[in-house]
Parts: sequence; structure tokens; C-alpha cells
Amino acid sequence: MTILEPTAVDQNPLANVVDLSNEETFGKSLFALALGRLRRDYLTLFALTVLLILIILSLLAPVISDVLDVSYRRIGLDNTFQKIGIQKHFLGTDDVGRDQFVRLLYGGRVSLGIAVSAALLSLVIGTSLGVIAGFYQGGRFRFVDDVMMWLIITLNSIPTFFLLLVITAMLSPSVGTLILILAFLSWTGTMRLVRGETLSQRGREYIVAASAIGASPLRIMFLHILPNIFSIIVVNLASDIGVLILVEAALSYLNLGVRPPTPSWGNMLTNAQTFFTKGVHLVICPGSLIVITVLCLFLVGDGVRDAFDPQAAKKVA
Amino acid sequence: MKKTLIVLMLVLSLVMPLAVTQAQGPGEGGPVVEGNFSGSVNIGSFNPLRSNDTAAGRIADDLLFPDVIGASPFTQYYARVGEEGVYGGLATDWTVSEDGLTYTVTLRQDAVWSDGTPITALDVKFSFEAIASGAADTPLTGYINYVEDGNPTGISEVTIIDDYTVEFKFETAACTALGLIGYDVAPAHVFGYDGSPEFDFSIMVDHPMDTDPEVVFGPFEVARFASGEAIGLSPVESWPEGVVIPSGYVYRDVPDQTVEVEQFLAGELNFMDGPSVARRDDLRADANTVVADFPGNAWDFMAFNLADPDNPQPAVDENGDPIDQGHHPIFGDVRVRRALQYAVDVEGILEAAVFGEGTQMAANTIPTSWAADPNLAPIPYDPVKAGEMLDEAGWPLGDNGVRTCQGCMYAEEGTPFAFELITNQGNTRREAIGVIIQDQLYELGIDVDFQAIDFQTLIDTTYGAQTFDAFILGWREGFPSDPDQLQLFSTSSDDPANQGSNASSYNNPEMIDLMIKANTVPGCDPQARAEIYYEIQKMMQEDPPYIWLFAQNLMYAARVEVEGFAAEPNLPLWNVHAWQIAQ
Amino acid sequence: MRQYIFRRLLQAIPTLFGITILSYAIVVAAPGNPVATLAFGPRTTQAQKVQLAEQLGINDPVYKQYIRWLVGNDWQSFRTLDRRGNPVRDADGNIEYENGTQRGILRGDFGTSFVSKKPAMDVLVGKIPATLELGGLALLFGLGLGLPIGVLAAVWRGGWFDNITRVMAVVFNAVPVFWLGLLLLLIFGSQLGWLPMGGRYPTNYFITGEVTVRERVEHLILPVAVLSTGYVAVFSRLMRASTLDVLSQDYIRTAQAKGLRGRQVYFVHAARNAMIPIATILGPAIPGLIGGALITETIFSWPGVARTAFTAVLTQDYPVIMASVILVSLATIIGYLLSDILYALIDPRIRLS
Repeated sequence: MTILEPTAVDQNPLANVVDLSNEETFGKSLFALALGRLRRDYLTLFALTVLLILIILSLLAPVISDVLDVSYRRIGLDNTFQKIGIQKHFLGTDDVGRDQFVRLLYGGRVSLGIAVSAALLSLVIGTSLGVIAGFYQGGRFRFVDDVMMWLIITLNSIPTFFLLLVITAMLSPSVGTLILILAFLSWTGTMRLVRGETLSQRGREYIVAASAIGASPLRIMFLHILPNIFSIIVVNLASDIGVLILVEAALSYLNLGVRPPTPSWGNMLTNAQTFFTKGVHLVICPGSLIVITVLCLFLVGDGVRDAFDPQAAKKVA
Repeated sequence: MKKTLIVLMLVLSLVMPLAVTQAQGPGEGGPVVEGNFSGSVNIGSFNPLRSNDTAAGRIADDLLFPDVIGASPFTQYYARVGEEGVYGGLATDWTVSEDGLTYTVTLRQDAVWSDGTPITALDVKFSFEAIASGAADTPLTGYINYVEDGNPTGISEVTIIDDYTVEFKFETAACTALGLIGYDVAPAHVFGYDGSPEFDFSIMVDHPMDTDPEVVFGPFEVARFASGEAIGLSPVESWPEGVVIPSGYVYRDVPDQTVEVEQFLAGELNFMDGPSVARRDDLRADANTVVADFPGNAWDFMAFNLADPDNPQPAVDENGDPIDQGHHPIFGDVRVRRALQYAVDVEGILEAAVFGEGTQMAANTIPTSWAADPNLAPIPYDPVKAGEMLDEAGWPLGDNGVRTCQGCMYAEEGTPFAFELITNQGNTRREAIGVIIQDQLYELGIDVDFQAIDFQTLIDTTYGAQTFDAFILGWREGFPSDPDQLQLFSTSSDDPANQGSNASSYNNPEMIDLMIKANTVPGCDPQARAEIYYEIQKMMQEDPPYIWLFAQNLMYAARVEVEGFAAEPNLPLWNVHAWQIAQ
Repeated sequence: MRQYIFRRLLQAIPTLFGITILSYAIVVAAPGNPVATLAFGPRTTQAQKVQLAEQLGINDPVYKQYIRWLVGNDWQSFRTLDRRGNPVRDADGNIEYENGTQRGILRGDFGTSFVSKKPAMDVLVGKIPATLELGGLALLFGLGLGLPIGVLAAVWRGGWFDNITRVMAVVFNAVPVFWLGLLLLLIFGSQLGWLPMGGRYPTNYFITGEVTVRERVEHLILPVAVLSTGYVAVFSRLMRASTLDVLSQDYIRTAQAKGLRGRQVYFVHAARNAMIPIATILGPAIPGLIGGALITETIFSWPGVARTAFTAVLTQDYPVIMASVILVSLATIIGYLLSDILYALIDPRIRLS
């Protein structure tokens, strides 16, 4: 549970990926191969299904709340701490009588939304900077790479979760700012990977050819190099999202996360712990949702990695 | 603040025969163990003059050092040494001059610091000079400042008449004077104070007294202090009030109230001050727990901004002339404020936010105060009436279910009735209050944007900038409590630059005149003062700066093995030296 | 080797420099300022605040403040103020000046805590033993349990042990730390009453100063268990992959071909070599240790560095916050360095150039 430091691995997780000359794989793209393997990995498929259901339910929260005729923010003072399954409240009600089921759905939008946006944003930052740094490494503009490596080593020298706490406590961010902060603190892993991979791609013939015919550096970086290293970028996405969900929950435990009354799984869990003797279902439901979601994300993450890297899969599976 | 009288043991023998029959010797009783969830046990300083955090309040103020004037657990007011159960004082008597400007205090002569030095008038003078000097880096300075710093009720001079008589001179006569005299006393000789006006009080900064106080006057002395863990006290051998039976007092850090109650139920703690409201019913029902319930003195409110939030101004300029405050587009109109009190179900909030562990406030005075008007009923919850009042005030319900200004007093025509409501993050009670108010006003066609924000930002926006619409927060009355609230509602407190307490810009000259009158009643007769406070409370209902909510109840809980536990409001430890804890 | 360490230390200088900039930037970006924190009180006057602001120099440009924080202000002069905050004048009516007193963090002066009024670094350094005790044991426990699990899972690859440990590793990583902590606390402390629910010492220690080894151990069990679950999960999986890697090497096959017994091959030859990669993640494990420790220390009232720093953040105790960022970063840098050295020591193939 080394929060936010999931990718201590500095080298390309796909280092021993598919040699394209291998006969078994000849003629098929990396993605097609990976998809083929994924289709046979039932555990990953199952996890993926659970995730999809959760995501769809969360997205449909307003519709579901209309259909059930309960609101996520309307209270009911004569209706507090209802048990699971009473009347129209599937999962009971909370300390001020709000429907737990619908609040969990809305909380899912917030928790998943934060984690997904922050993970994607960090991916974009890490990839762009990684390609740029890798591309300029050692050349005339080497200072670009030097400055970035310095920034990364500096950021990595401060425990990320600790830095996150200091920043959130000092700035007490809104949801939008929280996403920015999470992204700002988690891009370094991706950046290093991409940088390394860019370095190795840089010397290949197709790049040399492209620059020979006068393609601009930007064009080379983002049209030629990027597509070729894309797979290594997305491999860690699922588990990164999982880690970010845990981070949001941990921040909520310390009262630094999403602020009530906006529901998130983390702050619902934290809030419910105060009254766990009055309604234990209020603790169990958000807690289980976090565990299930993160678990599925980790499983999907493993599955995707294995699909892209069958040799590693043999070792780990 | 640990003083009790010689008669105390006599009293105890009447009240608690058990305590005597078991005749346990010093330190044979097992330790008192209390939890502290207010953050890490991180006492700012053991020197009672240098800190006022929670840990300092319990340990330095309650258990290690005396006050000039003690208080009685039974009358809940200042009391002379010798009165029944009096707690924490040195004064055996005090007299007030005819003009109300001079208080002469006589000190007990049998009190000695733990190193054998007698406690005298010099210690009292030292303590006041230290706070007033501003050189001792103390948070208390603002409370007892000398008159020259602009506090009209401050003490202007402290004079030693003889070793056991001190005279306090005030610039203005005020009934709150005793509260200013009643502060803690620290040992002067430890700092080498000789009464010289040239004495440099900065010696108190970084003095060993901060972390390792060797000279104290109380039933316990510091045995071990581990910040972030616990403060451990051991009993003193010769406590003049009687044998100290507990083998110590340990003030332990607990992460939160949930865990605190669990530790208590498991016997790891044996005393709690203010357990989680969610668990109080469980504690009452628990056979191993003894509880003492009392109405509390900390009250929550929802404050309105009466002035223009886009142009915050202090109430008066440098020459003391009033500055135009403008009007809040919604709350500038007293009819709206009055209507909203009807729109909020305070009893329902009480039940949901604190599980009924509170008492509704009728107006600005806590229900337990002698100055609270017993005949003044709280405004009842009546949403229908509230709606009618809002219609009359020019805020009728529109087609879309939202009220809009149609002939209202200060807002532009067509403005929707919408405002921001904020409170501090991490306080589940206030978060629940906000959610409920938001919902109940929504019912009436009012759109409330409720947010919990961090404490510092809240203070900056409200007391600092005065740019808010409305906020939920609470006040805690001091003890012994005085009904005077000039600090909260006076014109001079409407001062954003100094984060004055009157963030609402509630400038009601009639009310201020009454408050000053009540605070300067000759002789300070409570009955005469109360009559005036009754009038103020009616006024505060008719022209409210706040929505009045409730005061949360106090609860003290001890494990059943603690014999002699007899908590009284605000003074749960008045007889702690006689507690016997079976081990 | 000495040269290598020296070079690595040199490389740490720009990093530390970056950390100081970052930590200062956070404090500058925060809403509110030290004056608001220090002068919070119902009757603090504007004049007092202006005076305080002047003494703290927070009206200067940010870069000046930063440099002063770095190297101190003892080369500067300030007006001498009397008790009431007015400038002191000498006989001729000239304002008196005195030298600043702050020596700057480069000379070890991190300022004075706003809360405890003690030197900021002292506040934190006093907590190091508690953190080392908890973190060190968690790490040891993580290695002690994780490594054998990893080897066995590799040996019985695909068997039930392998599958169960794999699933456990993922599940434990998916449970929020604070939830796990509270759960264990409620079960073992509250329901079963087997273990104390928090703190580092029993109650009596704070009165008599006496504590038994057994009591110390009892207080350590729950926090160490919570903090080490993550390590067990990570180390076991890494060790498994690493062992599988080694098992496929020629020398192991040779050993087996020569008739060495299974246990000897696995634990003497394979495991020893498989442990080499583990050394590389010990460094990165340290920042994780501190992050995870914060939650654990909070739940179990453990008086460590992380919680002290967090309390400082909540009380806006700026000097302690900044000192903690520097201290924790130093620990991390040293952790990386030690891990690299360790790696070089145990793997003869690595040459330090």
C-alpha cells in the first residue's frame, strides 16, 4: 500500500515485448495480439464487466434517481439510519435521511471522475514531457532534458503522499484543483518510461528518414514516435486509476478530500465511521465499493499488462 | 486551578462515605486516564500564562496551577476559598469599591508552591504584568490588555497592598471585571520577578517552565511529557486539601471520538469529557459506565451578513463616525431574517445533528445562564408562516419553484432568492446542520449553495473580509459565564481589518446601549442585570443577526471503577484528588 | 566506492535545492499567511499585525524571503522594537537597529515552531526513533514474510499456494489503509480485547517510566501489521518474479542436474541471487513508508515524524511544515543512496564507475 508510488519500475514494463520477427506474431499488430489474449483471460473480463456496470450506473445516476423517485441531496429527518431494503431505499438512508444507494452512485461519479481525469491528465503531461525530453536528450537542446530530469528527481525525492497532504491542506482545493494536483504529482513515472522509449526510438531508421526529408521536430515527436510507444503508456492506466481512488479515500479520512455535501466514496465512508454503531451498512457499502472497484482496476491492469507482455505473464500468472 | 478547601474532605465524607471508609493512602488509587482527540497532545506550554489550547486548559489550568479567584461546582460561579467545593482559587474574599472601579482581593495564606515558597500577592501581580507586558509571547494578552491598548474594560493597575492583599483598578466599571481578575497564577520566584517595573518578561519565553514545570500548586505534578503521546502526572505528597488518592493522571492522545469511546469501553481510558454524541445513548446504557449530563455552553448559529458583501466596511472610521454599510440584497431586510428562523426546524436539526444531545436556543443567551429569559420561547418551526412572511417581504414563489424579488427591499427586481452558506470542513455536526438547512429552505423555494471549507479560509471570508452571505459556526461561553456579549455584537467589533467578531455588521444602537447598561449596573446585582438581558433577548428574536440554533449538551463519563466521580458542569475534576480507581 | 558515494552526494545538491524551492513555493501559494496564524485571536489589533508582518519580513519580494530563509538574516538590520511595538531611540533620537537572528536553513536554523515555540527541526527530530521503530519493523516484517512467500510461490508455481498469495496481494493492496487499521483496531482491541488500541507505551509508563518488553511488543503489533501489509504484497510478488527468472538460469539447471536437493537449490542458490533486484526497490520503498506511515500513525496515535508533520500542516505551523519537507526528503535521498550502495555491494557484476 505504498500509495501513489505504484510504478517504482523505472524500466519499460514491456521491455521484452514481442519481437516482431517472431513467427507466431508475424503480421499482426501489437494491439490485435493483446486483444486476442485478453479475450481468453476470463478473470480480467469479469473485472472489466464489473467496472463497466459500476461506471454505467454512476453515469446514469440522475436517471436512476428519477426512476426511483429519490434524490441524492434531499433529506428526511424522520427517516434517518434506515436499514437496507426499507421502502424505496435500496441501501437504506444516512444520518440525515438521504438515500444511500443514489448517493453512492453520485459519489461514484465524483470518485471515479477524479481518479480517471487525474490519471488521464497525468498521462498526457508525462507523455508529452517524456517525448520532448527524450527527443532532445544529449543534443543541442539537452538543457530541456536536464531541467526535466532535475524536476523529476526533485519531485521523486519528496514522498508523494506527504507532498500531496501538505499541498491539499494548505490550498484546500476544489474538485477541479484536486484533479490538477493529483495529476501534477503522479506524472513522473510515465514521463521516465516515455523518455526512455523515445530515446531508443530516436535512433531508428524511420525517424532518421523523417528528419532527413525535413519533418519538424514536433511532427516527428507526436506523429512518428508517439504512436510507436503508445502501448507502454496505457498499460499502467487501470492500476493508476485504482491507486488514485485509494488516495482520494485516504485524503477524505484526513478531512482533506472532496468536501461535503458533495458525495464521494471516501467522504461517505469517513463520515459514516462516526456513527458506525447506528448504521453499519453506511460503512460497509462505500467501503466495499472502494475495495471492489480498486480490486477490479488492479486485476484489469494486470490483465492488460499480461496481454501486452506474454512472457511476463508466464512469470506472474 | 486546583484549589479546594480544608473543609473539602469534610464535605466529601458526607457526600461520599465510600471515599472515607476505604481509607486508601496517597497514590494507591490507580491512575485517571483521559483521552484527548483535539489533535496531538501538544501542549503549547505548561506555563498557564503562555498558552490556552485544549491540553493546557486541562493540564496546566485545571490540574497544575491556581486561579486568582476560584469557582464553585455547585453555584457555577466565582466563589471564595472556604465555600463548598470551591475549585481552583486563591481568593478568600474580595470587595468592590463604591464606584465599581477598584477590586480588593484577599488571598489565602496557607497556599505554598511545590518547592515550599508561599503563594503571595507578588505572584498575582507577576501574572498580570506578564500577560499585559506583551513580552511573554502569550495568547492571553488580548484578553486582559491594559486600557491604553484600547480595551475599555481592561485592568489599568495591579497594586500589592500587603503579602496577601492585591488591588485591581479598572478604568471603567463593568460587571465582567471578575472574569478579568480570575486568571491563572504562575510562580514569580521561578522567573526571578521582584516587582520592579523594569522587569523583562521575555525571560518567560523558552523558559524550562514551558516544558518541565517543577514548581506547581495542584494535586499532581508533571511526571512525563511526550508530545503527540501523552502527558503523565504523578500525585503530590503534600496537597493541603487532602490526600491525593489516584496514582496519577494520564492525558492520552486518541485519534478521534470514535476510537476514544472504544478505548473507554475497553477500559483503556476511564474518564471522558464530551464523548461522541453518536455514542452517548450506548454509554448511558452501559453497566460499566457512569455518566453525568448537563446543558452545554457552546452554541451553534447561522450568521447572516446584513451589510453589502461586495463592499465590506468597518462600522466606524478613524474619527469614530459611522460608515455606510450598504445592505445585503437579501438579508438586509429584517423581515427576511425573521422569516428564515421560522423556516428552519431546529428541533429536527438537534435530533439529526447531535442525536438530541443539545438544548434549543431561544435567542443569544445559553439556556442555562441566569440571564436567560425563562418565559421567552424559541421561535417555532412553521414553514407556512415563513412562506407568508417571505411573500410579504417581496419574495414570492415564481413559476419555476424559486422565490424571486418582486418588490423586495434591497435586491434588484427578478433576483432569485439564492445565497451561499459556508461552514468549516471536518465538523460532521455543522455539515449536517448545513445540509438540513439547505434542504428545508429548498422546500420554501430558496436556493442555498452549501459548502464546507477549511477553517482558515472560513475565518478569512467571514470575520476577515466580510464578503460572505451566511455561515454556520459556534461560540463557546467562558466559565464562569457572563451574559455580556458586547464583544460579539458591538459596533467596534464590526471591523473586518481586525477580524472583529461582529462579521454580520449587526449595528443596533439600542441593543448596544442596553448591553452597556446591563454590564454597568451598580453593584452588579444579577436580578437587575437579568431584567435588561431579557429585553435584549426579545430584541434579538425580533431583529436577529443569526438564526438561533442550539447549545450542545455536556457529558462527562467515567468507568464504574472510578469511585468518587461526581462531575459538575464545567468542573468535572473538582474532587479528582479523592477519586478511587480500583485496579 | 568512496568516490562513488561522494559523487552521488554531489548530485544530491541540485535536488535539495529544488526541494527548498518547492517547499517554499507551497507556503507562498497557500492562502493566509504566518501573520494570520500567529495573530489569530479576537482582540489582535491591526497595528500588532503590521508589526508582526514587519518582523517576519513577509512584505518583501518572495525571492528575498526565500533567500533569507535559506541563508538567514543575521547580516541584516532591523529596527529594535520595545514592548509596545514602537521603535527604540537612542539618546540623540535616532532609531536603534539590531542584527537579525535567523541563521537560515543552510546553517541548520529552521526557525521556531509557532505552536510549541521550540526549534522546528528539534520538534521533528525527537520523533525519529518512533518512526524508525515502526517503519523499520514494518519493513523487516514485510521482507521476512514477503521473500519466503515469493520463493515458495515461485517453486510451487501455478499451485494453490501461488494462487492464494497472488489474490491476497491484490486484495490487500485494494483495501484503504485507514479502513484496514480501524477494522483491526475494532476486532483485536475492542471486540477481543487482546491488544491495546493505540499509543506507543502503556498508561503507567507516563507516570512511573516503567515499561516491559511485552507491553512494547503489544503496542507494536497492530500498527506494524497494518503498515507491513503493503510490503508483504509488493515484496512477495517481486520475489516470485525474480526467483522464476533465476530458476530458468543455466547454473540452477546445472545444480539440479548434478543432483543437488530441491530445498538446497531453491533457498541457497536461487533465492540468494533472486534477492538482488529486491535491493533496488528498498530505496523507493522509503517514501512509500513515510506516506503509508502517516495514516497508520494517525489511527494508532503513534507519535512519529509523519503525524507530527501532519499536525503542523493542520495548525499552519509553517516552520515545522517546511522543516518536515526537507527532513523527509533528505531521508528519501539517503534511502535511495543506501539502496544503490547495497545493490552494488551484493551484486558483484555491478562496477562503480
